[in-house]
Amino acid sequence: MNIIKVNHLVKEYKKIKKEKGLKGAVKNLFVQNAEYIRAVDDISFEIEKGDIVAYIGPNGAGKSTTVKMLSGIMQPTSGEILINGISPQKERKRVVRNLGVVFGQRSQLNWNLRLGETFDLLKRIYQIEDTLYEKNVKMLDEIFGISEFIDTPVRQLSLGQRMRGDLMAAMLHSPEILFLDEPTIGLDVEAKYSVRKFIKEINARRQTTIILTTHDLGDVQELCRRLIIINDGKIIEDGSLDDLVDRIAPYRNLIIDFYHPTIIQHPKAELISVDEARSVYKFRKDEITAARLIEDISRTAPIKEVGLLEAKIDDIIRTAYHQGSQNDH
Amino acid sequence: MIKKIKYYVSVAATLIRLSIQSRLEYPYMLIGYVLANFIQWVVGFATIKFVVDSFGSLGGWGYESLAFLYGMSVLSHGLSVVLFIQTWYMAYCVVEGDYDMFLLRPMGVLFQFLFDDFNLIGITDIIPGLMVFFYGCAKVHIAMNFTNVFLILFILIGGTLIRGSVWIFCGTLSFWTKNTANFTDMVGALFERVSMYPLTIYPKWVQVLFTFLLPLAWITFYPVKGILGMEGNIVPIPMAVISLGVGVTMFVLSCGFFRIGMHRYESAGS
Repeated sequence: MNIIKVNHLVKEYKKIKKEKGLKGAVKNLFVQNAEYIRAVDDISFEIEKGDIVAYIGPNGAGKSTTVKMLSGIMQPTSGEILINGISPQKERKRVVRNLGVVFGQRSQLNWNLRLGETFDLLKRIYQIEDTLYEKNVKMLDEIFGISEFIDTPVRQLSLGQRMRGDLMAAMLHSPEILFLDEPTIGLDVEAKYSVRKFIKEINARRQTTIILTTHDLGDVQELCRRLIIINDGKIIEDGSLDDLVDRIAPYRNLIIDFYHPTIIQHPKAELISVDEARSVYKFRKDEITAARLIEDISRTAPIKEVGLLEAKIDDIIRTAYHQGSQNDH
Repeated sequence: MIKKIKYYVSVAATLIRLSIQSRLEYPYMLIGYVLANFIQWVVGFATIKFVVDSFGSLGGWGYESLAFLYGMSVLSHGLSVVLFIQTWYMAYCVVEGDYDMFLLRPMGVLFQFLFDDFNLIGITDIIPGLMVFFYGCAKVHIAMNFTNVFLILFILIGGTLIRGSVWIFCGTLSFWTKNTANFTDMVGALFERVSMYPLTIYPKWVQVLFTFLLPLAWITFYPVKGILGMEGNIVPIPMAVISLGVGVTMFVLSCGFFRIGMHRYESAGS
């Protein structure tokens, strides 16, 4: 079942061009040089229940704007959004009851008070039954180990603890959908690990549908079955990370150290460098496997050591971003 | 319906409790405000006393009635500061995108916003207000019977709502201006001048302005005149009731205006 449906979504901003100087400032009062910018330009996608989807793109690509429209904070210029069959623009309260939203750059926790006070408030706002509340807190604490700082004022929490608090706050009312806007931004390795673990566990235990925007491709690799890449307001890729890698970077490099300097060619691999006893072969994953290649070569000369180089995920995504904007212009 | 009211009351109570707890995290600030506000209102009142002592009366009002008027004004000012202080920072909230959080919760945005920062410090305005008020009551020898207590409550609620509505209205303008500068100080001065002194000290056109167009004279002037049994009551219902009506009407209108502003916010983003 598709829990989220987005149809031809468009968000236009009016950007006013200002002229420089005092003369320009006076002129600006009377003449508006308005320019319309499409932050989100006709995007459509559907998301299945229980999926974890990474929504990525360079800064200013339209990620946050999309998340804001999905969560009912922002009105689209045109197009339709259905969350569980309901439009967040028409029935905000009904939709948000079933949403958990965390913005990494912003917190909903009460700065001055102990973390637990915000939870108490949310319990009342979402009218969470006592038994369900206890159950949820216990489960979230199991995943997250939050009880050690639940009595600490939020202003004294570390960024990692605060993020854990925010994630927990977003899950208290057991929403079916979780929107995470850069949940790992600024976090150290340990805290990032903890957030990723949380996302995985929540998804596994509750079948919570999760959409996350991020710049950390480690998040994508570890968490997401599906990847939507947006650039200049348009979706440029939508599929699994493996497919994307296969398509954009079908090549792998095999490094072979022989016992003696040797040059060996192979019909299905390109020898791209030879440095004394070390040779590097470039081959297509769909044409030959690494095992087969090693086997073939070892028949000619004994091999001391092998290494396999995958294309870097960062490079792949960067390539995808560039391709997207080239198609555009 | 009752369930809904219960729900909203329970959330409001929690928000108020949390705001008070937050304020109590900084107790010295509270003490500072008690002193500053106390001095402010007592000096203000002393000024009026000095004027009346020098000239005999102010706009046809004697010292006793002025004391009562002044007390009522400080009281509704205090109440409005307790309940509506966050409206002073609406422009800031718009620029910072603070309404996003409220929109993400299944409740009315204005409701959450108003109760989110219940201002305990406003109580420091109410204490000197009560002192001047009781002093005024004693001076005008007002009978504390059932009717008068209700009328006084009406005036306070009406006055508080009128002040709050004007603030909400001014704050909502920032959905369009998106400028953090606001009219708070100007409006505050206006409230003070219209509600602490008898309207009759101003020229006729100013009186008309504050009676009909921007009905600030209903915060204290007309209802106090009514309750003190002064001349000029042309309608058969107590002025205090009209005050309450004006307050409720303005509040409903300002809530509607806020909704329009919220639409603007949702379509523009932060």
